[in-house]
Amino acid sequence: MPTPDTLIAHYLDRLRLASADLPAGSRAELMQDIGAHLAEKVDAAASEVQVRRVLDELGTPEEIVAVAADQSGARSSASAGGGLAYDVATVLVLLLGGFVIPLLGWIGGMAMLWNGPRWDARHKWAGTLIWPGAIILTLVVLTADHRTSGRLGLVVVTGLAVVVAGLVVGFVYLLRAARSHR
Amino acid sequence: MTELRRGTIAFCVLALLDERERYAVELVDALTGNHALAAGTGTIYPLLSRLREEKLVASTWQESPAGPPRRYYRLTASGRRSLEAFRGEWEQFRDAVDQLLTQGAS
Repeated sequence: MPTPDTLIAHYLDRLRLASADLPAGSRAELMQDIGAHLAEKVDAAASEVQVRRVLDELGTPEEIVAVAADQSGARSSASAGGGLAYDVATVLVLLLGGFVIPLLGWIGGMAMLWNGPRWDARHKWAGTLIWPGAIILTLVVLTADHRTSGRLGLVVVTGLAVVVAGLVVGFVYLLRAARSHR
Repeated sequence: MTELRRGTIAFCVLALLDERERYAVELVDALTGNHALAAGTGTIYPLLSRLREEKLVASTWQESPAGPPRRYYRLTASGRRSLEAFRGEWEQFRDAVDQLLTQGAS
């Protein structure tokens, strides 16, 4: 038989999953508010039935998230103009900043990425790992090339093509993720 | 109908906060008490977030006498203006709809 604690933990897990696509700030706030609501409504002595009633009254996590998505859509469309410029600038600085000012340019792009309101933690980590990933892959390709010195050109060309394609896919992914939250 | 409810519920929240500041569970209880808010009371939280974002309400966390801290909401000056504007529009709208509904019934 589930205890009140496991019922609540299960509900919050569902809410966390359902809200994965909300902007990170809205999501954190929603989790906090629902957590506070449950803490208020359910005391230590609550029975299973009482907890189930409280959860029923709240509605399903999916239902709450649908309204949250609606509301944050209404909110961000008001500032859509600035949003697009910021998202594109972030991706450009992240992609090319390192060429203009080595390392510092890339760090600036990272700061913009982590401050961006339309990326959640998953996108931010992906964006963070794109360049390190590309550099490691390039090194792997170059050392592999060393070992198979007979067929020099082919390995380098395919390897670098994969790296460039990976970069393009990564940055397109970031732009699309941002667009879906504008 | 849910759209109509949701659109007006924001102003019901503002009206409740016009009396005094309240925490979220109090708002939920008041709204469900008079059936303004039906099932799915959790949807009040995204709504409160939006009202706060639009600076129509402000909130502060406060200790509760017993139990976990509560986020208290209060009306801001622009929230009060927005509520006043809605009161006027709502009266006109309600009268117009009432008139049409009673015409249809007779």
